[in-house]
Amino acid sequence: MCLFYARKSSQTPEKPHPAMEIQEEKHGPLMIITLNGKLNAATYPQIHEHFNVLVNEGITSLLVDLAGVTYMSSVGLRLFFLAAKDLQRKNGKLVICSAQPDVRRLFEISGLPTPYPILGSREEALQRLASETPQ
Amino acid sequence: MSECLQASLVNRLDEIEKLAARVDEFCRQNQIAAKDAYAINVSLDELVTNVISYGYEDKAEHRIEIQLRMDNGWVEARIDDDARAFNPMEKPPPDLTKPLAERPIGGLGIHIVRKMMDSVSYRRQDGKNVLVLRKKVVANS
Repeated sequence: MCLFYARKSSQTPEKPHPAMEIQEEKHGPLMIITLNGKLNAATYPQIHEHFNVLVNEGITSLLVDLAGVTYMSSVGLRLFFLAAKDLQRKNGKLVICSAQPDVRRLFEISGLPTPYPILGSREEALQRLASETPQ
Repeated sequence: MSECLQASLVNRLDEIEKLAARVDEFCRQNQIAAKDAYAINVSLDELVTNVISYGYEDKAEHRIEIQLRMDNGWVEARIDDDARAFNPMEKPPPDLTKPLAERPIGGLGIHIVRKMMDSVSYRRQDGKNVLVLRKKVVANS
C-alpha cells in the first residue's frame, strides 16, 4: 500500500518548492484522498503521479476531497479528467467533493466536460459512491 | 491610493506562487473582490506557466516582468517576456468535443484566460512578447 505524505509547506519564503499535502484513507476498494494546498503547475506532477499509483494499485473508487484546496488552475481540470478516464477504463469511478467557491467556479467556467460528479460534501459523495457501487 | 505592482519573475514555476502573494496584496489594497482576485491570479498563472513551460529553447535563466495597475474600475495586467514570439490569442478555442488528452497542452489555460478576463491583447515589441489583460472589477462592499 502506498502511503505518500507530503509535508505541509511552510510559509517561509526560503522553501524552494510548494507542496501539496495528500492524505489517504482506504476503505476496501474505496480511497478517499484529501488534498490540502494549491493545485497548480508546480504541484501537478506530484499529484498526477500519486493518482497514477493509486489506479495502478487497483483502486476503483476514488473520492477526492477538495475542502483544503485554496487554489486550482487548469491543471486541476486536466488531472481530474484524466483520472476519471483512467478509472472508467477499469469500471471505476471518481467523485469530487467540497470544492471551495472559487475552485468550483473554475470547474463551471471552463465549460469542459466533467465526467465526474462534484458534490457539496463528503457525506453526499460517499452516498453517491455507495449507491452506484455494485454490492 | 494604490500603487502599481511590479514583479520580476525568474522562469521557474515556483515563482508563480510568489507572484500570487503579491497579487493578493494588490487586490486587498484596492478592495478587489476575492472572486476577481482569483480570476486575475489564475489568468496570470496560466499565461506565465505557458511561457515558462514552452517559451524558451535554452536552459538559461530568463526574466518575466509583470505589472498590475488600476484604471478607473478596471484592473490592467501586463506580462513582458523575452520568450520566442508567441501570441496565445491566435490559438483557436479548444475543441471541447475532443478528449482532453488530445488537445494541445496549454490550450486549456488560454481558454480559461479568455473566460476570466474581459480583454486580452498581444503585441511583439523590441523582441518581447507583451500581453495586456484587462478586467472590470467590483469593489468589496
